[in-house]
Amino acid sequence: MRNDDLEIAEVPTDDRPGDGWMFDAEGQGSRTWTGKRQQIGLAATLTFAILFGSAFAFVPRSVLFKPGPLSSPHAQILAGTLTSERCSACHQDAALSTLGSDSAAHSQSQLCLNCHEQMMDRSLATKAHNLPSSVRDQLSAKIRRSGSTTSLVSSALIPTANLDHENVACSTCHKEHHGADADLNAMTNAQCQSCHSVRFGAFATSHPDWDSWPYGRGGEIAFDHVTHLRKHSKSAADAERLQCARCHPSGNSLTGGIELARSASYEIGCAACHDEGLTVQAATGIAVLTIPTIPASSADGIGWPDLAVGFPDGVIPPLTELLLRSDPEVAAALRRLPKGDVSAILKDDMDETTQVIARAIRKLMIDVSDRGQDALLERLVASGLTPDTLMPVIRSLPPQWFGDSTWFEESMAPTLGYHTPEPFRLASFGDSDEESLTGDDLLGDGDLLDENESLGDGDLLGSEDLMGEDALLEDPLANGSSDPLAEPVSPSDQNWAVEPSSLVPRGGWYRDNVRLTIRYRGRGHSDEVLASMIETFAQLSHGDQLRDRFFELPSVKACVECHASATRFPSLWRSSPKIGDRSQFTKFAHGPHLNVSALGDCVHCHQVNELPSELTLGEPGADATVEPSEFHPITRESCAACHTPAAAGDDCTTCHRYHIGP
Amino acid sequence: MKDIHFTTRRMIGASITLLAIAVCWVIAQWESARLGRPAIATGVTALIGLFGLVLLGVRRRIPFWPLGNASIWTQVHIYVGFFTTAIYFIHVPRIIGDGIFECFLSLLFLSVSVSGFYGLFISRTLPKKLAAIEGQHRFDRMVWHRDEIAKTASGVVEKLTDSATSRVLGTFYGKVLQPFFSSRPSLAYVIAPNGNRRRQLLGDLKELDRYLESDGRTAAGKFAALVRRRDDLDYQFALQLRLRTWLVFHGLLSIVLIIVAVVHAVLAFRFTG
Repeated sequence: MRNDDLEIAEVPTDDRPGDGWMFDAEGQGSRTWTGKRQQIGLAATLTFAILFGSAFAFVPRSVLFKPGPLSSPHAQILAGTLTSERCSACHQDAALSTLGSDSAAHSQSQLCLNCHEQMMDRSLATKAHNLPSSVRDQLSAKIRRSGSTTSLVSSALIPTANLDHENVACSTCHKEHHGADADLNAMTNAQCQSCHSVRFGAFATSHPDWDSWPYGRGGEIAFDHVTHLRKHSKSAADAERLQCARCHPSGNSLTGGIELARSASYEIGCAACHDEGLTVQAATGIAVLTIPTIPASSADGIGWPDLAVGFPDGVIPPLTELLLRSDPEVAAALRRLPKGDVSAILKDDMDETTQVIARAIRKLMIDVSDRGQDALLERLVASGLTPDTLMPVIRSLPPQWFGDSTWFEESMAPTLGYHTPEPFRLASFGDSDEESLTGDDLLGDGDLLDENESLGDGDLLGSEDLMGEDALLEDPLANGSSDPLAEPVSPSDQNWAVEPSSLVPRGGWYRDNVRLTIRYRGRGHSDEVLASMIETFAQLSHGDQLRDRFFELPSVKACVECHASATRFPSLWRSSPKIGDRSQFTKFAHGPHLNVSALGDCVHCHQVNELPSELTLGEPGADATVEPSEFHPITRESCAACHTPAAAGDDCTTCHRYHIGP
Repeated sequence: MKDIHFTTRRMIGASITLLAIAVCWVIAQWESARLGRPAIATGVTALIGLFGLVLLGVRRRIPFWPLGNASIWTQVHIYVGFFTTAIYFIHVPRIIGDGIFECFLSLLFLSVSVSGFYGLFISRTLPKKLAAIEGQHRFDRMVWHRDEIAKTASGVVEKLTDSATSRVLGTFYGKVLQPFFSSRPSLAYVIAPNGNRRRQLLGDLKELDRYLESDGRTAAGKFAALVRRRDDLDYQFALQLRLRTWLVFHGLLSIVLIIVAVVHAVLAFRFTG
């Protein structure tokens, strides 16, 4: 039996809700739950304040507030900076000690460029694709012309980017503070396409087809695969020479030893078949100066060589014309010569034109002989060219040759005495009308070697002349006619005939006294003098006839037929690998592809188009703007065989780069 | 106005919450795809959600204002809590932040969220348990009740007249019941209240019956009733203490969370390039 009839007192009803204290009948106080809660709240607030205060006091703010570790490259760079300066390296408002922001501070992208300015032009860095809007517009128009359209699904699912394409911040795409291994270049396909007017879905099904990529991108070396394979693969030796790997070996150090070379060296790939022909072509040489034959009526009174007086004949070399045409009057006269050919001049203009040109040539020769290389440099600059490219010519060409009076009998005399050392003179001076050397000739009576006081009695060499009867001690100009070199040299007295192949068989400068020309004979492949001339003329605009005339010269043509890119400015002579080339939107590396056994055979992808003209230009609707390729195009389908989301990936960034640079 | 059925109300609330979460997720994905800053949109949304959640505490402190039924406020608080938690997961790149401050913030958020879900659980279960117990005691008066039970038990012992009964029950009271009535419930019991102690004591009292006469059994019955009343009181105390402790923990952390989240927002806007 249980008895629940208990006598328990009723609970007091004098509570006051919300009070922190409660008192019993004896007046003993105790905390209510409200009081305890207030106590706990106070303790928690104090704990929180102490925790935060300690964190502020003992942990650097850059560590305390850093939202996460930086990516490894940035972390390594900032590891060497002071802890207090790490935030401000990338954030313009990093001065946590002040609440206001520095309005004059650079934007964050500009801070990025403090380190990355080597990779891109600062002025283009924040423009979409690092390209000016005009270039982007051209590319967009090209894509629209190609007929690519946006699918309805893609248009609905991919939003339009809400950013100014002229001011795209680095942080728009590159998200930091996501850990050491985070991919700063991680971008989704939708993000890439949000800026583009033409959008599509999966690569395999809706990516636009491309015309001829990877072909048609130009190249520094012109090489006709079709001709070589069709005509020169008859013998086993030829077939061996035309193996792909011979000219495109792997192991390019630039790409870590896995990428293929774009072309072999001349010695390995070309010399065996082409060296002899190239030597023959280069042997024709190139004239730097030619004295044209002009009529006697024009030559009268200008001291023109007798050898160059007669019916109009000769061609003004392009280099001579380049050095002359900074003078407007001369330029106008030169323009009247079709392709520099004096013989083609119209009879009405003959006297005036030839006289102007003849005087200009003579002045050029005086100028160069008088002031040497400086005269050449100044004339190039006056023509609007960068003279640095012509340095190999300027360094190797003796200026004395311009003043050598073998061709001229009297007009060059005053200048020759100034620069040309006496032993090398080939002809004496006649009476000169040059003011600087008349009468008070420095080498006349007061010849330094004759009565120089410093070499008198007190001379260290003593009173006896150590050189004895050296003929060079006698002033060759003092007694005029007694000097054998002072006698005018007639053509019949010298060996005028010049055979370059025997005179300069290994290449070099020579004077042809029959043709009255100074010429250069190339030494074969990699001739730096010829190369410098080509680089100089490459600076001229494409509409310039002088440029065309120069590149038509046989010895020049022999160079630029293969080195087509040398005619661009700046000239490019060697083929550079496309890997790492930031000027292309599309990137490709052979390395990973060659690991696939089926792709190890080059012809799996690169099939030579034996009949390019029939296959490309002959097809109805063929794009006439696309240059016929010597290879069959690589189709999207062949790439899409592997490039799917589940296999090799089909992200935009797999094949395309964003930052386009020079 | 006719009350909406609980199930219908829950369906409507859950649907609206899920719809809001889905809309925010789509906006975040859309903003990300258009190279915008989805973290700003989701962060601001989460911060607004936090402020909205705190409003419940404000509402409870001003019950006299005509701001609607507290029950509705609690319902809204629960759904906003779910919504804000979902927005947090959309907002953060990883559940627990890497940096010191970010890690603290994320742990705070997760603690408040987990405590909120726990609060949701106990607010659905404990009231039923409390209602099942006889007597409704104010938490602040539980000590008084405990003392009164102890006094009553002591009075029962003092009223025993039969020497044999007095010896048997007095010995049992002195060794077992007096410590039980005079002491606070143990921490283990407060954390996990159960009926073991009650069953043990009642079983022991039952065992004494064979040594007792009628009066003694009556006294033992009173002791058994006092044991049950004390155990019920302790059970109420444990459950109420659990609810109140959760509320303090959840509320305090929420306030700290709001402060830290505001600091985070200020830093995020300052450092956004």
